[in-house]
Amino acid sequence: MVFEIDKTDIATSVRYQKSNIFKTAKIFLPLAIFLLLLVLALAIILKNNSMALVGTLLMLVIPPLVYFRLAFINGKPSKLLGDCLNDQNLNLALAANTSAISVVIVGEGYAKKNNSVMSPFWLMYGFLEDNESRELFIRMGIFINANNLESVKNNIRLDSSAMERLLASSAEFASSSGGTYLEVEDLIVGLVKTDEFFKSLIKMADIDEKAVIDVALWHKRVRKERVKVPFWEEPVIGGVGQDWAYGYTQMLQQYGLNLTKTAGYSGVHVELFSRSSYVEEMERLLAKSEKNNVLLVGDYGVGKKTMIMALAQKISGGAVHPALRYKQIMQINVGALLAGSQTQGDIVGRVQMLLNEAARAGNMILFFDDFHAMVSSEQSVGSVNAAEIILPYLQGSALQVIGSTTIERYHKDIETATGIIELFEKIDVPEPSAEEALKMLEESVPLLEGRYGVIFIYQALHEIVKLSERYIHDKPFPQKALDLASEVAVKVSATKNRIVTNKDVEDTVSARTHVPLGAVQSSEKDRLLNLENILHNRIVGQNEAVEAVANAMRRSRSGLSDKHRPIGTFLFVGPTGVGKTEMAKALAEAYFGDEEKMIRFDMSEYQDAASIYNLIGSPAGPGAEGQPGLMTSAVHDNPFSLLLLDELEKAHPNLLTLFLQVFDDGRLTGGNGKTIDFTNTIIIATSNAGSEVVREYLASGQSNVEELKTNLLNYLQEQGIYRPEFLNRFGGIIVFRPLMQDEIARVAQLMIDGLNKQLEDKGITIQVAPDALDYLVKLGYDPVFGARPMRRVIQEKLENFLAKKMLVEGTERGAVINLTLADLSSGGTGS
Amino acid sequence: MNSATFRFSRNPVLFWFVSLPTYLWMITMGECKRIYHSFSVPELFRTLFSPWKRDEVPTDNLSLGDKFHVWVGNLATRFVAFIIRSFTIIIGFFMVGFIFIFGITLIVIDLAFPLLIVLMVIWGTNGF
Repeated sequence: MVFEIDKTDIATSVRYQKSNIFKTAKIFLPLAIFLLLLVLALAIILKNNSMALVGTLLMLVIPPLVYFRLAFINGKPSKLLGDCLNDQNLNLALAANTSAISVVIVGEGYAKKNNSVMSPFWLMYGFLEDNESRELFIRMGIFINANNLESVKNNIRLDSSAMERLLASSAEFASSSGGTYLEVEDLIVGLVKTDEFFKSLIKMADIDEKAVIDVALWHKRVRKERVKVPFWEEPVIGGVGQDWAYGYTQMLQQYGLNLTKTAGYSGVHVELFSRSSYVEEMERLLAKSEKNNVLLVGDYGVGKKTMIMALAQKISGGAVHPALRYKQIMQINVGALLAGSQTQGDIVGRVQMLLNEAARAGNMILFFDDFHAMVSSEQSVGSVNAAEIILPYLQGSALQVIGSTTIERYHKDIETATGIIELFEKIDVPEPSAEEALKMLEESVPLLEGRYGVIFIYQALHEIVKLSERYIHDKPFPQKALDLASEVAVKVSATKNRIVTNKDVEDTVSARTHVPLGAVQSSEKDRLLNLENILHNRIVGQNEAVEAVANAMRRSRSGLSDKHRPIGTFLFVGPTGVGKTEMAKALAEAYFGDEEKMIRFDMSEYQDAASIYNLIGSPAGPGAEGQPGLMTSAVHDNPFSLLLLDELEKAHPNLLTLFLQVFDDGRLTGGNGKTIDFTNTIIIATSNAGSEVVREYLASGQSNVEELKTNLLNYLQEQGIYRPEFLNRFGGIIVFRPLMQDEIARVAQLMIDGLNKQLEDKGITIQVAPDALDYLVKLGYDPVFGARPMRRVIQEKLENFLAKKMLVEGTERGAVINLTLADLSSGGTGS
Repeated sequence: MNSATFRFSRNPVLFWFVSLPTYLWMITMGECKRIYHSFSVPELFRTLFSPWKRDEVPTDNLSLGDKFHVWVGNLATRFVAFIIRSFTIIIGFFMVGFIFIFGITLIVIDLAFPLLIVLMVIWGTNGF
C-alpha cells in the first residue's frame, strides 16, 4: 500500500492553511481586484498608458492571490477510495480528505521533532489538534491532551510497520461502511483495531471496539450534516411562484400549518436513517394513482409526526418521487377548525369548505393528527363525524390525506366508520426496539447539543436508552429516551463542564425515581454489605428473614436479578406481632430511601370476587366509565415502591391468580385495559395462616428452620389456603418465628429509643432502669401476639406517667428523666 | 470553507487552467439552477393553464346575474394571474441568462488571462 501525503494537492493546501501569511490572501484578493478595475477604468477614461502598466502589475498579483485564497477551500480529494483500493500502486493519500491529511501532517511533524519513525502514536497529536477529532475523542469519553501524550511517549513501543497496518485497516473500514474517501473517523477506527496504546485508552474510558466504530459512524453523519455548503450548492426550497402555481388556499392557511414550508425553513435536518423505510413506504403509497391516502397507526410518542416531517423535508428539497414533487403537506388544526361552531351544520359547512379549497388547489396533502377525531361516531369535545363528508374527496384524485391514530382508536373509530378504511393504506408504526431507539437518539442528540450548548458522550446515549427502558414505562420509545436526553441536557447546560456523561444520566433518573443507580458508591457499597445490620436496627431477631431479604437486594443492585420481574417477591409467614410489617417498612426505607415508599393494602378488605375491581380497576360498560383500581393506580403513580399485601390469606382466591402474572412477568393489565409495570416494585405478602403450626413446632422443642418451613408449606397447601403454583412464584417464603422474651426486651428498648427521638424537640431524655424495663417486658410479653401488646404497655405505663410528670412538675430543656420500677408500677396506669 | 465540487491543484498551471475554470463552471451552473428554481420556472410552466381549468370562486347554486359577475371576476383573475406568471417566467429566464453569461465571461477571462496581460503590456507601452 502506498501512502505519500507529500504527493497530494490537499497536503499542499493544508500547509498553506496552517500558514498565517497565506491567510492574508483573503483580504488582499478583493482589494487587488477592486484596484485593477479602478485602474482600468481610469486608463480607459484618461487614455493613460501608464495607468495600463500599473494595471499590468496588478494583473500579475491576482493569480497567486486567487491560488492561495482557494487553497483554503476544503474540497474533494483527487481520487476515490475504491480506485485506490483496487489499484495497490495508487497513492491512498490521494483519496484522503483534508482533515485526515491534516492529522497525518501534524503526526509526522511530531515524529520528526522526536527523531522517531512515524507510528500511530504520533497521530494522536494530530487528532488533538483537529477540532472534529477532538470532539470525537470527547464522544468516546477519552479526555487527554498533548501533555498526557508527552508524559507517556518514552514508554510507547514505536513500530514503523504499525502505520501501514493502521492505514490498511482504516481504508478497509471506510470502504466497508460505504465511504467515498478516507476520513478522520476511519483513521480512528484503524487506530482502535491496530494500536495497543489507543486500546488502553478506550479501556480506561469504559468503551469497547464496537462502540468506537458506532461512535465513528455516528460522528461522520453528524459532521456531514453540520457542513455548511456554499450558496450555489444549496438546494432551492420553493421559489417565488410556488404559491401562484396552484389554487389559493386562504382557509387552509388559517386552519393549517404548511409542514413542507416549516420543514424546509426550520434549518433542522430530519434525516431518519432508522425509520427511512417507513418514510419511503409512505412516499410510495402517496405516489400511487389510486388508494393513495395513508394512515399511520401507532402509540403516541413512537415518532409518527417526525416521519411526516421527514417526508415534508424530502418534498421541500425536491428529493422525492416525481408524483409528489410539488405537493404541500398541510397539517390541519381540527380544534381551531371546529372552534366557535354552534351546530352540526356549521361544522359540516366548515369542513366541506376546507376540503373544497384543498381539492381545488390540486397539490394538497392534508395531515390530520388524531384522524379518529374526524370520523368518530362518538360525541365528544374536539370530535366530529365527518366520515361521510370526507369520503367523496378521497374517492377522487384531487385531494390526499395522511392520518395518524393509535391502535386502540383505529379499531374503535376508524374500522367502524363506513367506507373510510377502504380508501387508506395502513402503515403500522410499532414502538422501536432499544437498538433502534439508540439510532434515533443519535439523530436527535445533535439538535439538543446545539440548543443547550452541551456535548453527549456516546456511553451516555447507551445509558439513556438502557435506563429509560428499565425505569420509564408511561411512554414508548423513542419518546421516553428523547425526553430523558432533553432533561439531562438541560441539567448539564447549567454546569461548567457541559459534557453529558453516564453519571449525569444516572443522577437524573435517580432523582426522578429515588432509586440509587450507577456504579455502587463506597458508602452504598458499605450499606449493601451491611444490610443485615441496618435492617436489624429495626428488626429484632428473625435472622433468616433479614438475610434472605438482604441477599435479594444485593442481587438486584448488582444487576443479577431478572429485569422482567419485580425486584423481589416475598411471602412472610408467621404469627402476628413478630415484625413482618416492620421488616417491610425497614426495607422500604433501606432500598427506596423512605418508609413512605410503601404502598399497603389490607387484603381482608378484598374477600369477595367483586372487590377485585376495586384493586385493579373496572372496564367501561354501557353508560358507565371504567374506574381505575386502587392498587394499579398507586403502582402506576409510584412505580418505585414496596407493595405490602397484608393478610394475604384472607383475599379472594381469584385475586391470588392475578398475582401469578405479576410475579412472573412484572406486569398486570388493569380492568380499564392499562398495563401496569411492577418490575420496579418489591412485593411483600404477609400471612398469619399456619401460625399454630409454627408455635406447635417450636413448643415441641425443635428448631430446624428448614423442617419448620416444609411443615408450614405442607400445611398451607393441605388446607387449601395457597395453591402450590402460587407459592412457587414467590422469590422467597420466609418464616417468622415467635419472639422470645429476651427479644421482646430488645423490642421494648427500640420503642423507648423511638420515644426518646420524639422527645428530642423538647430537649428531654428518658432513661428506664433495668428493673423497670424487665417489668415492662413481663407485662408486654405474649407468646400469641408477639410484640404487639408491648406497644400498649409502653403507652399505658410509660407514656401516661411521663405526660403526667411533665404537666405537674414541668420540665426544662436538657432534663433527664430517670424512670424506676416504682414510678411505672405505681403511677403508670394513669389513674 | 467546504465545497463538494472544488478540487485544488497545487500545480499553478493546472490550477489556473483546469481547477479554476471547472470551479467557475460548477458555480455558474449551480447558480443558474438556483435562479431557475427560485423563480419557480418549471412549476409555473407546468401549471400555466391550470387556473383556466378551475374557478377561484365557485358558481354553484348562484343566480344567472351572480354567475355572470363571478364568471367575469374569475376571468379577470385568470388574466392578471397569467400576466404575473408569464412576467415571472420571463424574469427568471433573463436572470438565468445573465448569470450564465457572467459565469462564461469569468471563465473566458480566466483562460485568456495570460493573453490579457500581454495585451495590457502592449497597451501600456505602445498605447491602443
